[in-house]
Amino acid sequence: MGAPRTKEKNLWDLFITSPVAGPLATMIVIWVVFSLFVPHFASMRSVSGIINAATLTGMVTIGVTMLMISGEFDLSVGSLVAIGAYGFAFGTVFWHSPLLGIVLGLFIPAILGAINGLIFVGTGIPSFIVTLGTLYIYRGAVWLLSGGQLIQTLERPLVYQIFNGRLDVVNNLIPGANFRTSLLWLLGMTALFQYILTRTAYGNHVFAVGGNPLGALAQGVNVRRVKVINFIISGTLAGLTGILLFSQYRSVRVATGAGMELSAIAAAVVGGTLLTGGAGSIWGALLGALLISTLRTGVILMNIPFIPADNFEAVVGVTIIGAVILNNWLRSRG
Amino acid sequence: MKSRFILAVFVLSLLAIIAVACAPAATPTPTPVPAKPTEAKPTPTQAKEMAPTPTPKEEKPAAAAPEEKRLKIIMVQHALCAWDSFWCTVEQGAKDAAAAMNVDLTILGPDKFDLEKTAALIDQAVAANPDGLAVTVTDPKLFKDPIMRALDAGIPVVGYNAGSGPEKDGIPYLTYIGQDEYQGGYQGGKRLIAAGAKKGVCINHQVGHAGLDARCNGFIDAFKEAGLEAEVLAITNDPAESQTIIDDYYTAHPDVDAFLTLGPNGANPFYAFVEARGLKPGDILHGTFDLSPEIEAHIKDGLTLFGIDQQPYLQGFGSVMWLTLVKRYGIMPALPVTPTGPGFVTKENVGVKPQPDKPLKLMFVQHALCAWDSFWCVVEKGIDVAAKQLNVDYTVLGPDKFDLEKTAALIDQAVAAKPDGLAVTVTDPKLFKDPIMRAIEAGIPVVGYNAGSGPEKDGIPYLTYIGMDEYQGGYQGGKRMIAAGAKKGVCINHQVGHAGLDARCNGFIDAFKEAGLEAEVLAITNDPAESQTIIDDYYTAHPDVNAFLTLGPNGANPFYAFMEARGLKAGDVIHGTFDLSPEIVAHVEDGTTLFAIDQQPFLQGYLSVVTLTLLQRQNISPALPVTPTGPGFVDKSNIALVKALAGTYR
Repeated sequence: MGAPRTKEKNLWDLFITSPVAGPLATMIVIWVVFSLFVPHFASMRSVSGIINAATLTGMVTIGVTMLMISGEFDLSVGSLVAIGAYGFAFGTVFWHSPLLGIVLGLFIPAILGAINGLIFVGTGIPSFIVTLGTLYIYRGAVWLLSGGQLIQTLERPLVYQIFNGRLDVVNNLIPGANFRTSLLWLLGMTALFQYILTRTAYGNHVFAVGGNPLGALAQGVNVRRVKVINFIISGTLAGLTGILLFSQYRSVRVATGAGMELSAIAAAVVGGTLLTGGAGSIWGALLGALLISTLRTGVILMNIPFIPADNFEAVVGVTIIGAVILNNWLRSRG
Repeated sequence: MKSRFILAVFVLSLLAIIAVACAPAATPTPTPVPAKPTEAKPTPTQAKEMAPTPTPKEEKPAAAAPEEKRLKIIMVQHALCAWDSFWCTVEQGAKDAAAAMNVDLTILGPDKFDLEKTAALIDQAVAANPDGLAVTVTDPKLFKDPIMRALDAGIPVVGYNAGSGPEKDGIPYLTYIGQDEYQGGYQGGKRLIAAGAKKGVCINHQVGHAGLDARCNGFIDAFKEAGLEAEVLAITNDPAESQTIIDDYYTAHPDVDAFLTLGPNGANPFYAFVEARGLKPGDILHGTFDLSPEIEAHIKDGLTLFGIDQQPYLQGFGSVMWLTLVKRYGIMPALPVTPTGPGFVTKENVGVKPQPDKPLKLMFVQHALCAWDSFWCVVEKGIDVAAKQLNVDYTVLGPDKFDLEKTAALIDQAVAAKPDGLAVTVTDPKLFKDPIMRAIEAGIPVVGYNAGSGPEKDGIPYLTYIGMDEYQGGYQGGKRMIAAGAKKGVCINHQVGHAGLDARCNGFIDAFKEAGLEAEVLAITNDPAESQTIIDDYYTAHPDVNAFLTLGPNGANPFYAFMEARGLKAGDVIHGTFDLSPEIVAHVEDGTTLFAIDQQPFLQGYLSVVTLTLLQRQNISPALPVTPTGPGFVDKSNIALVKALAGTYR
């Protein structure tokens, strides 16, 4: 461009080469446009609604993104969310033990995540196929666990308030806001895994096994171990999602979480994670989840006459593709 | 490679161990039951959700069975057996039901036709404070005030024999138990078409009479639906004139081959026309309303395909039965009109004498059992209670786990036992068609219950399907919300594309359209957080929407979260839902939720026994292809009873 190198230019370079550039840019554009043109969009109510709607998907997306960066998929997370929620429900509703609930809600999905990983490294079948299989197997396990029954309670013990209660400290300060403690869990986990990914040796290994597995192997990285650990992370975070879900809605059923696996992959991809592995970020994935949530809210609020209220998901789909095209364009320029 | 294979085997067996180890620890009865009770082909993820099975259950103190409580029921009618023999059959039905159901029955009527006197008798009945009151709504204007006094006193009221249903009569009694005139013409038309009719005529001896016109309208609609033509021919009170009118019409329209007469007044000149013209059975098709010796003779010789009976026995029997069900179990009639007719009398059953003491052995084949799926305990309870009341033997067969092949084999096993009646869950119409056909061919009366879509949609000519009517659930729900002040509605659908759920939304939207109001469908997902925000955003974008229908706990749960987050209180918006869950029960109690719609599984078992028994003993056939057990509305009026009986009767 021939312009003199300035400090701003350096910041721009830094921005455009960052994996969050695409989703952040899209997010800013959409927020500005929606705020200007969509009635009721620029309000604390819709902001907190967008965030609340993204918390459960967002939590699942963190684990899915870790796995995708290392080059693998986990399609079983939706089923694991239900298993986590049932485990937590059994502990807290039937045995009145928050500790047992948390242990069941996290450990069963973690073990099932490990099984995903072990089948994958043991057989060499692509993880897409392995977890497509376990998606159904684990949903079957939900049937076994639950006997097909809905579990619902009307009690509100402290443990539910901790995982997903009202964040009234904040809500009372901002009129119209309706934040929940699940937001803190999401931000905490995002920060934790972003740190692991970018500041630890393990994080380097994750990028390496996704981007260049042979090279990583040559460098002495235990590729299989990294992938199995990521499957466990993905399963555990799905379980945590189940705990958050049950803590707010105090209700879990056999179909709970079905379809979440695809929302998570969509969020990760919109957030700049490559389907082929080796690139991506947790912040980006979180932005991806928020972006999809924003679009959904925007489309509903726009109240477009020819798009009935039972068909707005199609508009979200179109926009997911648009966001990825923008990501790719930015990446090629960077 | 070998080590990998061993690892894979190890992993899979570990998986199996975990699954097995988790299951019994978690629930006492591990039940992989893909048995959504109202839908023919269940898919595992949606299946059990419609079953209203709130867990965890509270232990309830043991109490006397509701059947043991003696009830006092009064019937008030505009005529009596003492001076009008038609009413003897009605009274016999009522007395038989009262004897079977542990009820003290009093029948009141004037000693000659006198509506003022009848109205006074209603007030006399209310003063006796009965557990239930049945009234012939002969004059809705005159009877409105006394019936309202009964309702205000908290007495459940049904109409029977005369009336048009709570809506048309403008009196909010529970249901009208009597002939459905339109359905009589419609079902009659369908039978004539099935017999080969190409062009039809409805011979009306009193054009302008609402009931007779409705019969002709139903007849014509049946022909239109089949792409055929039909019209009305008016005749007079002069039989000679009428005979000539029919004859001239036939000369002008020689292609007309199907004739419907609306009673002996039309059938009589019709038979004269047939005789004068030299027509033989088979030359033309004839069906008629009502029975007379002449009509019965022509049903026997094949000239007349059927006589449509309003089944007065069932009007008396049904009045006592419904009031008992309402009072004891909080079970509500599904529709504003509970038809006792059309009851078709054909060559097969004409002239059959009632056998009230005939010993009966009934068999039930269902795709699940109480032993491993608690939903079915309620159905089986209904079978048991009815069988004891009517003194019939019964056997329930079902597979020991969900297995449709096995269930189909059990139908054949039941047929081999030659029962007097067979009830089957038509879970898979294709798979079950052959065994059910073998039962029908063996002369065994068959009804479907709980799962199925009716003989027409299932393509199997069984008598009737006894189960939930999904469309009516949405439609009646919509009407209740409009009556409560709904201006604009939304149907929150958690699984768009599911035939049963879509039918509920269609009914809801149609109810709004009929009232000149708007309603639409809002799709939500399996993620409750996402669903909550979708509902919240929708409400922001459509602040004029004040009526929300959810299709089960899956929609109600995020809806309640939305209300709480938004700070909405009971009365701010109108909410109705399908099914019961602890959360829904609590919200019906606190007034947030106007009603919850139940499919009433007890009634599915109970009515199967009643239908087959009345057919065998009283020659009474079910009026419609679908006998709805739901929508059963649970609201503030019966929530306490429903809650107390949850798990056994509800």
